[in-house]
Amino acid sequence: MLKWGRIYEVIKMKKGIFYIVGFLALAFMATGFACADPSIQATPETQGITTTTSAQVSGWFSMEQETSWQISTSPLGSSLTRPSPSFPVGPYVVYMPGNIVLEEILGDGNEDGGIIYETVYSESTSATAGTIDYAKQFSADTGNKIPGENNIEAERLITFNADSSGRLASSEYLMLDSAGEFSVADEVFTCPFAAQVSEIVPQFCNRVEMGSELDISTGSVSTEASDRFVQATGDYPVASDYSIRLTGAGDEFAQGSVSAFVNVLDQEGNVDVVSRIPFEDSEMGTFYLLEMGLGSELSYEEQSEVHGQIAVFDKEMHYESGVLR
Amino acid sequence: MGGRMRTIRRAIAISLLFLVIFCCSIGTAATYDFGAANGNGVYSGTLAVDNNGNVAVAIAASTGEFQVIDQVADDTGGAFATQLVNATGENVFVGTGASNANGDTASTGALATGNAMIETIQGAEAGGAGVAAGQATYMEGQTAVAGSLGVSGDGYQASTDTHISNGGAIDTTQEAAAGRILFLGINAVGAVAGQISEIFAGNGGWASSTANGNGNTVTTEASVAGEGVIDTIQVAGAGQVEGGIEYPLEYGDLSDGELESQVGIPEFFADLSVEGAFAGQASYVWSDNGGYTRSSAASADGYQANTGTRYSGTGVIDTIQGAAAGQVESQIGYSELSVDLSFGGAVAGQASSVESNQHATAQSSSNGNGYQAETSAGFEDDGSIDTIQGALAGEIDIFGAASVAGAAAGQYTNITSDSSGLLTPAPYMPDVGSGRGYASSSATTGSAASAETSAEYSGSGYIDTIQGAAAGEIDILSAASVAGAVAGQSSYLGSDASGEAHTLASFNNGYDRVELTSQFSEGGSMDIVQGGAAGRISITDVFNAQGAAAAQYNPTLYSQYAVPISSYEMTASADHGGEHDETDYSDGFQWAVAGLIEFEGEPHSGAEVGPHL
Repeated sequence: MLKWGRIYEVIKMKKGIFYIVGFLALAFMATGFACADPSIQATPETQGITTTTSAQVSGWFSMEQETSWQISTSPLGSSLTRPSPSFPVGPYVVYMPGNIVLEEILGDGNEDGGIIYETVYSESTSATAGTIDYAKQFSADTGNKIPGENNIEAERLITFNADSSGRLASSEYLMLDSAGEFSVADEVFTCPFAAQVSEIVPQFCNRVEMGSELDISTGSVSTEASDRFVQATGDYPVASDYSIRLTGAGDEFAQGSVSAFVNVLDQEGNVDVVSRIPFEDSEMGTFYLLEMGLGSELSYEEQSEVHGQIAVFDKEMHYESGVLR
Repeated sequence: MGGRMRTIRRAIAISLLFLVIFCCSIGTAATYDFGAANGNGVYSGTLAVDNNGNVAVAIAASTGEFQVIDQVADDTGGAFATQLVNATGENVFVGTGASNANGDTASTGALATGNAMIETIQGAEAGGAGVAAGQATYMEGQTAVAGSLGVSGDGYQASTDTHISNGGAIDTTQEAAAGRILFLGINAVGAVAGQISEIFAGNGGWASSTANGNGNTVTTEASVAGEGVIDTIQVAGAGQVEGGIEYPLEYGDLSDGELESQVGIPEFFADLSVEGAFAGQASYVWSDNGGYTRSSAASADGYQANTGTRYSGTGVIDTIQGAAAGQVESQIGYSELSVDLSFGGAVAGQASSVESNQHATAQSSSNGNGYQAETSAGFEDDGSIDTIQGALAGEIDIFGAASVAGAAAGQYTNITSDSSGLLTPAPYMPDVGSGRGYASSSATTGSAASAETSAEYSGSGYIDTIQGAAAGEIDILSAASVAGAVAGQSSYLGSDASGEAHTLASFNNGYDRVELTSQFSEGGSMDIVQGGAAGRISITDVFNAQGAAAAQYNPTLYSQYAVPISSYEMTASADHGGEHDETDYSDGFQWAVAGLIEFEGEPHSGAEVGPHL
């Protein structure tokens, strides 16, 4: 008892350290360069999925969930297309939006570059030989969203107390992957000042992964996962959020291990508008001479992990990407 | 073969045009040829890029086929691209453009759809000081447009374009330039565009030029509805411009002898200096279903001026007109009819001849700072108008003799129309038909002061008039001044039916009001001078008034069917509140005053006309 009491005292003394570790609240943002990520508009027909799960069980519990969603401006499976009409010339790309003859020859006049977004959300939870109190709300909505709303949203609250050899093992994973060709800012954004930031929205290739794993014999954990990338306009950044908080039940410590991670790989294109020549008639279009390349590459990896008797483990992660932030 | 000849002629013309652009900068550069074909069509082009930011490009595209006779990009001392292309297809586009590091851009393009054909030579050039693009193009199609656009890095823009909307052909030489440019005799820092075009419209077409920048906007346009032809020379510019528009024209050459115009633009805008925007045209317009020409200007400080001609039915417009906004100094008009003009505001003017078998109008107007002025001429039935008109708003000094701070409009106009045969006259009536002709000028300061003068006839007749109206602060030769509105005319009119000359001046919402009329009926003529003013009126050492005053002199009133002159043929009336005076008989001169008047040192108050005989 004294031993456990001593440990408790130490933990209480070092509680700040735990909080520091836990509160490595990664409100990080990809800044310092023009993140393209203009989001993508919803398909004409949209879907909504909502589930609510609640269980209070002594014995065995299992929850498996996997959601995968791809949405693209081009047919899925095809390669990303550049805006039409455009074609390479030497080290440059010539782009003449609005020219009706070149549009008829080279394409259907899609002024937005091809864009694809993919998100994956999964959870795997199993509990044996213990008492579990499990509650979860999940929703997926393929319609256009605005800040404050999400396309994928999952909230969990789990409390577990093992019998002599019981364990709760759970993992959760959220991934948002996007890629797109360049676009004309006027076609992407409602904000009239967007073009002052970047007349041409450059190519981009971004991926963010967040999630957690835990293996505990006792404790109470809550998680929230969400992302938003389907929007009527690119005026808002796309966003992905994940948070986890593990505490003991009542005054007890949680026992076991928990980890949370975020991995980001952002590749942002750089479009140099070498020349922009408007023509007198709108049906002749505007001549753009573009020079493109990789302008920025951001790689970010972070993982926090604790083992033992855990007073609190709290981690919040926020990612957003967009031209207008 | 004809098309090839046109192309060769255009090649010579555009080669001359490209002598005007300043260049160049020394740098390394590269050129690229590009092109591809697929089941939808074919495109081809050439590109020049140097490391000083100069770019020039030429592109041809067709949903059918084309023959690229020559397509060259040159990177020596800047960037230059040119192409000589003959193209056919359902949809055809041929265009060139240039840009530089200063943000100056210039482009020219031809686009035709519907069984389209384009023969063109185009070129674009970019240098350190400016850019230019031009084309000489013959094109056919269901719809077709040829346009040129220049945009300077500091925001000035000038464009010119020609259109056919439902079949026909366009034969055009046009160019746009931006930056520091020498264009058609004009030195400019800004943007300039111009065209020499002939439009053969199957059912509607137009040519227009616009310029804007720093809040000043101008446009000039010629248009036909139905089947018709437009021969036009147009220029528009914005920025700081100096020079004279002098282009060595042989206008009949454009039409292969089919049409010839009497108009020409040399010396019409001589010694032009503009800090703002200007546009002008010399155009010949013919159509079987109506046409119009117009020019307008709006200045950054809110002044506007417009001038235009319009007809319906079958008719012709032969016009030189222009508009400018901003700070302008110029000598306007032909050498024998030119005036020195200096103003800040907006001005528009025209020298036009209009014919129609239905009706036509010529009109100029201006407004700004609460002042408005308008002058117009028109007829109904078969007739013609020959007019020189102008309208301006702002602060204007006219060759040091007159100054206006407000709005003014005036015209020197001859109208004739013939209504005979349109109606079968009653046996006891002369053949008066249903025709009508009129010329009028008016000015107002709003509700405070207004003045208008007009001459009008019904039946077959004519008007030969000089009219003017102004509102604001007006000073003439430092001998007479008006703070209010003034209008006047010297008119000679006759008709086989009735005629009337009328002048009205009103002050203080009509509290002071004078009105003069001379008229004849059943055929006749008159030679009349009328004038009216409202507001504060001063003739140095002779006359001062606050109210309204008018006078008319009619020495030759002649009425065919009323012998001798009837007493009702000259009338004058005056009102000052409830006071009223009038007379209906005079010996050829009448006057009317209302308000507070000081005449030769003696003050008067009330309403009075004279002489009472």
